[in-house]
Amino acid sequence: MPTDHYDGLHFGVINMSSLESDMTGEEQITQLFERLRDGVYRYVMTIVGSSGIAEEITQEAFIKLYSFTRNGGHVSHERAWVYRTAHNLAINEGCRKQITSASVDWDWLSKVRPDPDPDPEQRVLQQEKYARLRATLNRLPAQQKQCILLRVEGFGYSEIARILDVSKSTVGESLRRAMKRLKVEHDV
Amino acid sequence: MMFDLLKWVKPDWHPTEDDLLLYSDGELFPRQAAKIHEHLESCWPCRVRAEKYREIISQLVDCVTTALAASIPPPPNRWSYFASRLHNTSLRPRSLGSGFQYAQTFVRSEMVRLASGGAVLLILSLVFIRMVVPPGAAPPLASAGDLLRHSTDADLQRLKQVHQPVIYQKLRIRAGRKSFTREVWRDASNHRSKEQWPLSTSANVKLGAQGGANATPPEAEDLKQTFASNNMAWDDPLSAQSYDNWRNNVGTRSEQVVRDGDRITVSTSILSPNGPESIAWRDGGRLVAAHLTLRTRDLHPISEILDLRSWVDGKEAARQIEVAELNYEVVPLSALNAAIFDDAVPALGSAQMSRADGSALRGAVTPSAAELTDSEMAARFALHKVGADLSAPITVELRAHAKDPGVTVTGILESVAKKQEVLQALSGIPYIHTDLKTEADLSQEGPSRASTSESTPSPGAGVPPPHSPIEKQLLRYFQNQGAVEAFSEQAFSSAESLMAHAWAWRRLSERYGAIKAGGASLLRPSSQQLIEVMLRDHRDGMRADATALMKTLEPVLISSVVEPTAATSDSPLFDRASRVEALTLYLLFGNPASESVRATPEEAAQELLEELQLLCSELEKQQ
Repeated sequence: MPTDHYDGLHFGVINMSSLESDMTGEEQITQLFERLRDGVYRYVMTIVGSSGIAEEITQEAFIKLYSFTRNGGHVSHERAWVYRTAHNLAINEGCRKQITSASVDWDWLSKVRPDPDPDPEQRVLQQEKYARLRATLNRLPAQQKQCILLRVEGFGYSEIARILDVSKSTVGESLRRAMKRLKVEHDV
Repeated sequence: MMFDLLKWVKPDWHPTEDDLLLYSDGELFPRQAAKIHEHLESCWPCRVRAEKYREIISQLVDCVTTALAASIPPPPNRWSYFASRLHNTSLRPRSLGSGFQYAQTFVRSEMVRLASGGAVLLILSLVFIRMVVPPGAAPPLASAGDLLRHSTDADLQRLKQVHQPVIYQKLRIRAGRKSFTREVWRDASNHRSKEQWPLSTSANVKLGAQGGANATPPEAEDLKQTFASNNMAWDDPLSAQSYDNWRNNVGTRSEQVVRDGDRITVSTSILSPNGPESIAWRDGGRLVAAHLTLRTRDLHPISEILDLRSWVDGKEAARQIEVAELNYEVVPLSALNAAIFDDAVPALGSAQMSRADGSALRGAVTPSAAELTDSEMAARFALHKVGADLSAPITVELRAHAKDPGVTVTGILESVAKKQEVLQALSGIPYIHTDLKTEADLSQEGPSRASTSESTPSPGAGVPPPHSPIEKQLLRYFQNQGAVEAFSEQAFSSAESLMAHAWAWRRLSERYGAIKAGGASLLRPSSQQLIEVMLRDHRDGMRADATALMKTLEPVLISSVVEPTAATSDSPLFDRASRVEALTLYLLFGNPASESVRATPEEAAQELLEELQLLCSELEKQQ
């Protein structure tokens, strides 16, 4: 089951499982940071819409993980832990700045670069496709959009449930609604 | 799972949209997935429906991971502060409290999940969490340490804007049921302070117009003792630095940062205090919790609450001190009544506080070589952040085998304000000894003390002769002497800055090489990253200065002295920067120190342009 490797997140005693055991905490966090930061930053950007804030939140999430483990906390799935912390910080920042789902427009998506070397016709089609996708994603409720983005980041339903602090069935329902809407509006 | 198993055995069965989505998402149980897989083999319409989901998923992944990733703006600081933040966090004492603080979020949610299995435990835990986390408290966005450092930096910036700054602060201090008004003048340039205690807050005693009542209340001595025994500055009671000094010298602590509109409050509670178990009021009591409130827009401290305890013969007593700012101004010394500091006392400034910190730490433990190296790198980075590794002759020396192991920072700074800025930047770093002087200190001590530290060779050292070998060509180009001088100054300034970065880069590179030669275990990844950030910054600085110099010199030299040609040398960065500086000084000031310059000014100008081009391309390659 996809939830098996989550047992440690409940209360368990788990080390930094995917990292080298003979490294110091700083080395482990540095390695983890270098591996995960781009994905976390991308996810946070979709919530806060500001590169400076997204960078700060991303770093803060890893610092918190370091402090947490250094002070005796144990984490089984550090990737999900970091995403969850970053998500909470981003949502908090969003509330602080009164950023609503609708107001965070993915402006940068309008400047998407085409894949390397497509022919002009393909490039136009691809840009149109991304523009439509962007429009649909922007219209999705925040939770549906976050579920989609975390799914794209490779998290399973159970992991998303824990990151967003909702039930697994809520995640399933959010994804079902989002995909249905994407399917209808995107007319694949 | 949300499946009706009966429907799966019907002969005319087709999977629903939900089934297909879960199938595409890999969220079905193996038997259900196998059943749908088998069905899709034989049912074209359902296969097409499933493929549509797969296509949407494929497009979403492409859009987000490729297109979105390529088009979102990069992080503005390129993660350059992560290493230092991690390093600073690693220097802090371990705290069970903060671990618990982070853990409780998870515990709280998992408690809810497991509620059916442990209702009593859930209720007890929630009650406990409720006691620890006030309702509505937002999780911190920045650490308390970061905020306090930023607050101190912001106050220092305000000081730098005023010549010979004097800080005037009017405070209301409430201790128990008594309330006082205290006015303090702190002369930052001369390390002296003066205080007054007006009887009422409406007294017109301001900025040295000594005319109001000035009766020091008997409680003032107690308050002073309380601040001193808790490592806080009585002369500067409402400051982030003073607060930081206290929190850095307590035992295990729990901290919280909460922003509420235009205010940010840092709260610190001691979980396991250092020091003797028994402490009386006459000894100042022990500060067990404090709350410092900063103004959001400029991070200036505006109020503070201090919770104190005394323990004598097993009996505990509590008292609280509140400090609130009524007025704060930074004014030049010349704006004050000249007599105000006549009976002033020397102020306990940041330097003394910093040394006190260092002594406390040094006395507590004997640092390992790796810890000392970490401190050395933290000190170098602190100096780098305030630009003190560029122009000031400052040395950072690690003394691992000395009787009192530590890191010594020695140097001469151009002003008292700069010295304070440097001391502030170094405060909080363990095992640091400082011996910093200002140029004014040296002139008072006599000329023989002027060269006690490793000096950065200054490119402008010595007065350059006034005659440039290409003076005639420059005059012809610019048509007037004033323009030639402005051009020369601009070029000299860029060359000087280029050389300052080149020296800093070289010193750091050599030190980095020596540490690596001494064993990689001495350098933690965070320290290594600090070095790399500093090296990169210096290369960036050299690149910017070389480009500026090129822009300044090229149009003038090409049209008036030489024609450019391609060049093919491969000198190292420092040698090339050094050559650029020597040629610039020779060409514009006829500096005879550049013995290796070529015979004619034309050749020197040509070589200068070639060297600049090569330096720029070399730096570009190393970016």
